[in-house]
Amino acid sequence: MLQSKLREALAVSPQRSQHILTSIPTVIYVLAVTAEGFPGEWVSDSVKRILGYEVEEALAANWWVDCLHPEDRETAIEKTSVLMAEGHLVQEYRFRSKDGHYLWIQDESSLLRHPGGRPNEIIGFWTNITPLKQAEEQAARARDLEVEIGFKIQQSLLLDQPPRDFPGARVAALTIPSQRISGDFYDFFRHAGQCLDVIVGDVMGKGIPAALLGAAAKSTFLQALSEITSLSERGTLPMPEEIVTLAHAKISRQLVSLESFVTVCYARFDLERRAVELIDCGHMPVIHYHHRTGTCAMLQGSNLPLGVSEGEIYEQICQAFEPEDVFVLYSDGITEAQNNKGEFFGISRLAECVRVNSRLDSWELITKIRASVVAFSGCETFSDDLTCVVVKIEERKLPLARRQIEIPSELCELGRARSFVHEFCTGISGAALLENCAKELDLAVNEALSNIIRHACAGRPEQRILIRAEAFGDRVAICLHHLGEPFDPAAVPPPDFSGSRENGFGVYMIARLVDEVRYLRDERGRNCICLTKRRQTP
Amino acid sequence: MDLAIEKIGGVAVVQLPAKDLDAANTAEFKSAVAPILKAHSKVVFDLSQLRFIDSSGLGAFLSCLRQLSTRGGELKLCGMSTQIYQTFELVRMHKIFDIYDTKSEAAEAFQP
Repeated sequence: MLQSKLREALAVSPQRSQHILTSIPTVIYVLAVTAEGFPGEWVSDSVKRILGYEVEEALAANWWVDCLHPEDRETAIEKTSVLMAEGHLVQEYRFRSKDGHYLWIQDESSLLRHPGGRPNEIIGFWTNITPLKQAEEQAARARDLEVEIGFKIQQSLLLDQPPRDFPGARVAALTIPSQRISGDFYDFFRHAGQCLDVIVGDVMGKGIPAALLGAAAKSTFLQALSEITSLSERGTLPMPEEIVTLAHAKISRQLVSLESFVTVCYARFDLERRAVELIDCGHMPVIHYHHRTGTCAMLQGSNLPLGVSEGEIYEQICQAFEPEDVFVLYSDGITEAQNNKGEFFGISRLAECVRVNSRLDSWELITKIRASVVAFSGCETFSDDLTCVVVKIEERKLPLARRQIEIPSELCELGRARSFVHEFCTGISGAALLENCAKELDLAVNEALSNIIRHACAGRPEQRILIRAEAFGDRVAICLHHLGEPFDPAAVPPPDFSGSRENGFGVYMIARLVDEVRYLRDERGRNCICLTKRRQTP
Repeated sequence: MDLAIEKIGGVAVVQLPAKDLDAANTAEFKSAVAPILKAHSKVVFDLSQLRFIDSSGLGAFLSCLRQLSTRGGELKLCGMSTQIYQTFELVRMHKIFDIYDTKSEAAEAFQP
């Protein structure tokens, strides 16, 4: 009926109808419904302008199927059954134009029935939606790129590796990035005299702007620290409140003009005084697990976030701690993780998780926290970044003996290094290593040094390697510090025991010979390999 | 590095003079031993003087073993201290090499 009306209308003036059908932005088509299929009955002249085909070509048998993109063909054909069942269908597919290019087509078709309900014919419209699709694809690519850039910013600029060898405290950090990048950051400043500063921050908002602001805020703290340090008397460490005040002065105007703000927790762990000095700028309360009582307390200050009020005066709070106490600094991504009922993970669940797992080492504890949040929310991806830093206070043990030598990066020094290690290990008064253990440690040190000299400092004999030996009641630790290339033990292929390769045994040997191998960066940024051998009693 | 050779029957027994065979002197050892490996097909390394060996030293022995076996020759080791043997065991090289207590035992073990 529609078709006949259309024909009627168009028949009013053949000239006018011709003009309309060639200039409309879509192709109108009519298909017959037969037992064999849907042969083309009529197609508007605009098919020439939009798809490049002559009307006769477009009416040829199988023309439509042949021009469908091979990847879209099956689905497009299958969907015609929807049209037959529901009477209406809108679908999109790629369609080959006369010049061979594929265009994105939106195909909207309706089934017309005889008065008795029997299918009569199909009338439909093909519209070229390629420009729209391209814009969508571009937008999707831009979104992917933003996530990728944001992730790189976050990994390289916002999140530092916690120090792994800070004497007296075991520090671990965790981040689960969200699908949209955010401005969570953390940083660690090591100071002489047993002080470690931990900064955890969270920039309002999401996306690259938040990540960039996070990077700026983070570097502002470092800048503030170094400026005050250079102005203070030699040897005095600036107070956290001085550092935060200067950092705020440097960045608050920009934050105000960008209508953003940053919540920050700045904590200084003084392991000699056994106290933490804390400035809380609108951040989440710090969880402090007291080993002695087995309970958690919340440390919370009263300062506003950076960028809220230019005249803010920052005040630090001080809290004493004891060995085995645990501190947890985190972003609201953790406490605001939701389960399927819409409940928040919350501070009390986090504190309980810390209390129950307080005996674990900091890295294991952080793994438990992660598992606990994932189990609660029932998923591995979150709408906000999950950031968490754990500081566990250790019983401070002074080494029984400590010695060091420095050698040039030359293979002929291996013998001297072995003698140094051997004499040290066997000469510790009251806690000497057994001869066998000492020899195993000698060989492990030899292998590690030989790797450093041949690979990390290849061909640079002027490089110096520091060998530091420390003895404790239960173990001896030998650390090799160097400025050569860092080493990734994970990248070393497993050894070949068939005898067909002459090298590649060093890393395997080291792992077998000592009880612990750690690869880290020391306080001066040097690469460091630490080998620990436990003392066995005869 | 001077390597002393003692002949027991048709077997060349090479006395390793160094106390340590490590990354510092394996290159020297390899070049000193190369002409011996070329001139003989039945070779024994006497390690009774050796007190320390590292992975480079083990690698040098493996290289000698390969050079000889590609030409149909054989290499046997003898005179290892417990510590040296333990280093071989650590990387399972005790399964690759024929190891004997004394040089005469090693020399006699060759097929005539």
